[in-house]
Amino acid sequence: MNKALLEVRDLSAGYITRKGYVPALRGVGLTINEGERVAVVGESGSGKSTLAAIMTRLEPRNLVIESGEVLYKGMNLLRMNGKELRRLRGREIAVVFQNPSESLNPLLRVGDQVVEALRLDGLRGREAKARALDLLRRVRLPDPERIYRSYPHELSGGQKQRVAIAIAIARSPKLLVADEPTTALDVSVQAKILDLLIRLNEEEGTTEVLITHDIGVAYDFAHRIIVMYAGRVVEEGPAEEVIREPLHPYTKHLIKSLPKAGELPSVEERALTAVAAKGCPYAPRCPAAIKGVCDAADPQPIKVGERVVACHAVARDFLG
Amino acid sequence: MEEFILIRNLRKTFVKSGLLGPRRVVRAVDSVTLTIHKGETLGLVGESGSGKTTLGRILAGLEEPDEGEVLVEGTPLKEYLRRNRVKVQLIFQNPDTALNPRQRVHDIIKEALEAAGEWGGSGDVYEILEEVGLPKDIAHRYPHELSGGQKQRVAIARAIAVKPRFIVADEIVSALDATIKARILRLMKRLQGEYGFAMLFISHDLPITASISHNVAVMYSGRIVEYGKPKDVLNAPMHPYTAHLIASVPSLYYGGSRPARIELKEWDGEQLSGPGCPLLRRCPLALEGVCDKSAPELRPVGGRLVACHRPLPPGLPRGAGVGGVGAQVLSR
Repeated sequence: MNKALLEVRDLSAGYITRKGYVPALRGVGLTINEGERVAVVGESGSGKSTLAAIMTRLEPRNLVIESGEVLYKGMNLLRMNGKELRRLRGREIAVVFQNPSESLNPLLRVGDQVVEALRLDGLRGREAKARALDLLRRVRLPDPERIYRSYPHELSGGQKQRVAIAIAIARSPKLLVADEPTTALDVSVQAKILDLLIRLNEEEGTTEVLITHDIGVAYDFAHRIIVMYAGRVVEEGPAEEVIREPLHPYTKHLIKSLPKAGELPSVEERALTAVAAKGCPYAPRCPAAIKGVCDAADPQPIKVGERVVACHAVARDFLG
Repeated sequence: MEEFILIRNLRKTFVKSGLLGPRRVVRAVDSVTLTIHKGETLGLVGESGSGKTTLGRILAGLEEPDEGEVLVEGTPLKEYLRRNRVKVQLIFQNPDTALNPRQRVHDIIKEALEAAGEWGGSGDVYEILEEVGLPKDIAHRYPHELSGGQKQRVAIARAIAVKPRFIVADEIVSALDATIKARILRLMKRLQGEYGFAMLFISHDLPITASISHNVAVMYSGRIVEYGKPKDVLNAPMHPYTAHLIASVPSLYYGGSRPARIELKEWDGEQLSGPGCPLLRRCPLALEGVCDKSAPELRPVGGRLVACHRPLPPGLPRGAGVGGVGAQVLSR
């Protein structure tokens, strides 16, 4: 049952900027199983988007991968050349970005853009059009015939994102990585796009990775949640467990930051954003930090039941 | 509570030029009547295109209404602004466009203090920075050197520097991370307690808005469709549009159980031109011969104001659906 589709092992990477080298990922390890819906949650700077970019090998040029492996069906994506990657893209791994306006060509009709993806599988003419219309229908766009003939600017944000999803799934990929696909959209449209992704997973078995900053969205979407902080995975486990009984202090904090049932979030008003140079990166903000321990060494991930947690305090509780 | 702003029958239309299509008249604000009390936060919720930003801009004096009146403490808005321009502040979603990139934080706040005639030296700047939870040394930095949350705090610092009477906060936390969002909300709540300003908090996010507001108004197609206490509106919405907005909210924001949900048909952004309820073409509860005959007025029902011919019952059991009335009820 739990067959790994994508494995990330000890991945470290960073950006070369004018101000020097900025690490983005530090020893990230995770597994995405076949048929699963996984949400990667983190704030800006957590490394979640860098992770998504590397998973799909669409990382920017100034990104340096220091070490690690990204295994897709056992093949290391980091060792592949452009040609090998092109063969995987679309048919095995597809991606949906935050801003559909940027992923669609403004000068081409929507239908032609969907057909363009289908042509890679050898579909032509009437057959390609029929399949494209079918795809537009599957992402629940109203009046697919009209959408087919439309230009992107004639569509709403939600409709454009549906078109982007239609293109992403055109070649029936095994793995769909969606990087904040709903952040730019209205809440009610957001929910529909998430419903669409869930249905796609349930009906076609597409493995899905959702990158999001909203742990509430992650909970409704995912079977499994991966929480990232400062380039590390700090907690990972079944969605229900992570939310109901968070172990890592940062996960607890994220859940507390949500306004619940009309109440103001119960977090401190002041921001402590310092990231420690040494030890656990969360230690300066952490209410559970242990002096002499958390500021001394980076916590190693430990397994607690079905969960993986990287926290000294949790390790002390469970391992003694 | 004492009334601070009275909005009566406000209307504002825009004409969309027909460059790439037919010329259309858009009713951005349509017959809006609302009250904002002294020291109150009124939350204004709606999707993009609902007219919430236009209403905020009118109240900040950046747009002229076509019809209707706005009274601030009994004085017409225009006159009030002529005398108290600086006491009405606007904070936007994107601090990048609101802060001058060539000005240091110190000078940004100094300028505001000067405008209010409150400038007494750099000490004032540090004091205000501290008030919004920023360290002193930020004063000598430029906006681009700051994080998104810090920039928004600078924008807030500038707004409160003038001791405002009224703040229009338009999607001020929408672009921020969840934890920073939470902190800014708490900050605004505390500042309001200290400074006593009234606030129009505009957002597309109902749970966020409910958490900071004393009253919440839900706007659709230029009209207020529901107005009431945040918990009532959030936990037991009576207008189908509000229920629809709630259907879209992640369940965690309810601490687990969510109220009844309704799904509306998708909207192409086109306003209804004929008579009838603005929601007519989308609402699964719409009744022929009723909802297509006249637009419902905002009227008191169930401890709040609702503009609907067929409002949902208030206080449905949590998690229950709206059955038997043709509604498409979702449960996950």
